[in-house]
Amino acid sequence: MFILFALLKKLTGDAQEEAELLIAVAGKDQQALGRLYDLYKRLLFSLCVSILKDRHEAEELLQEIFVQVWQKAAAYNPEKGTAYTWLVSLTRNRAIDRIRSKSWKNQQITDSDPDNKILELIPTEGSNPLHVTVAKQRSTMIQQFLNKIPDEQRSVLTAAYFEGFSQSEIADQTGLPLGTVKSRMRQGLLKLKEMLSGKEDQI
Amino acid sequence: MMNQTKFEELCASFALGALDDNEKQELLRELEESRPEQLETLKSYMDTAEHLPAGVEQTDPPEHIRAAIFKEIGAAPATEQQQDEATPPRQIAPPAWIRAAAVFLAAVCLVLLYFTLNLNSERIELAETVEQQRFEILDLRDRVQVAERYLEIIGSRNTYLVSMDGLEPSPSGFGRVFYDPESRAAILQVANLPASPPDKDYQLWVIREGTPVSAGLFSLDVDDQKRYFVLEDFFEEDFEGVDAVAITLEPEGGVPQPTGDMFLLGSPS
Repeated sequence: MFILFALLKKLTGDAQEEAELLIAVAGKDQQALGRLYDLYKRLLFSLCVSILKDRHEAEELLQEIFVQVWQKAAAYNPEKGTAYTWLVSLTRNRAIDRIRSKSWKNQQITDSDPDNKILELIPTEGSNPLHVTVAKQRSTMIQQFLNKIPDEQRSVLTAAYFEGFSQSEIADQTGLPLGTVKSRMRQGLLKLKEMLSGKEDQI
Repeated sequence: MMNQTKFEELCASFALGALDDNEKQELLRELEESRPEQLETLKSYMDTAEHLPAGVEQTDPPEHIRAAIFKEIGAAPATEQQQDEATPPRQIAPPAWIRAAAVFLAAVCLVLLYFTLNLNSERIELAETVEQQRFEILDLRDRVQVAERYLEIIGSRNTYLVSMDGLEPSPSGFGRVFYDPESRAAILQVANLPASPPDKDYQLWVIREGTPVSAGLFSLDVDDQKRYFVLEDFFEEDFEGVDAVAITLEPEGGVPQPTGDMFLLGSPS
């Protein structure tokens, strides 16, 4: 229990530090950008490679993303989410846009976008500190958890999150009933959540 | 309102970014009429989905990406090592105004410390002066009281005067006794006597009809000291018939009859 509290405190502190780094980047602090890059380069580059399936394109995209972070960090609002969430969302959206040959500009979230409206409804307080920072040591464990999820559930999770397919598109591509795709997505995430809850003191 | 399973399927798909616009609108309508626990349900799916990036095989980008980023934003590329070296000072170095304020406060503290020490030194000196003056005042008050008593005794109508001359141990010595029979008090004046040894006291004798009677003890700590002593209840009997007054040096605390050397001797005038 003591270790859990210590870890929670450390991770909460890391999340706070990462948010402060983003705010400093908004103030054109180059050292803060460098620190943020060092913290997130591995995670975001790996995410780019996973989505784009092309290392060279992933390098280009990572560079574009951090230039965009430098230019757009002022848009980050720490009250609406963690630095981790903001950076991962930005990277995932940019990567999926690229594979769909859409420009980033056309995909920017606007006030009328339902994504934005839904996100505004979600409470931000009481966030699990284990979810709000780039915790390097958890990667291996989460890979193990994903491997424990049944293939049919993991495949729909991967198709949606890393390839940007909608549930309808997945149903079309796999020939599965739409209801089955929805059910597998839900069950896959529930299994991951269950494993995370049981092991969160080790993440 | 849709059932819980369908709602959770929408939440899971939204967290994975797999809803099309129509489905997002459907979720939004549901959430606008939702209970707090439904929002928490959506949040828990999103929290879970946030772990997925950590589930891919982790790999580092090439080093030149960092330099390319800093070149593009118009900054000198900083290596990771330089960042590590540069970051701590940035975090701990206070702003210029804080440093200036700290210097100013330190200077103020030093000035206050100087004045405090100075004031404390002056206070100690003043306290010593006050104490010394207090002793001087007490000494003067004693002297004034003795003088007043002296004037009262010698000014009395029936005062007796006995002058004593020095004998062999101290020929230059002399003494006087002023005795007021009304108050039965006397003034003893002695001069040019040697200091009394530590184990000795001078003893005053009143000799009447050949019999010496002790009238008191005194000591002198300095040679040739002129001293005055007020002797209350000096002699209870009538001073008529007193033959002489003498001073001898006796063992400390006195003796019933004189045993030591006689220093002064005189007869009533």
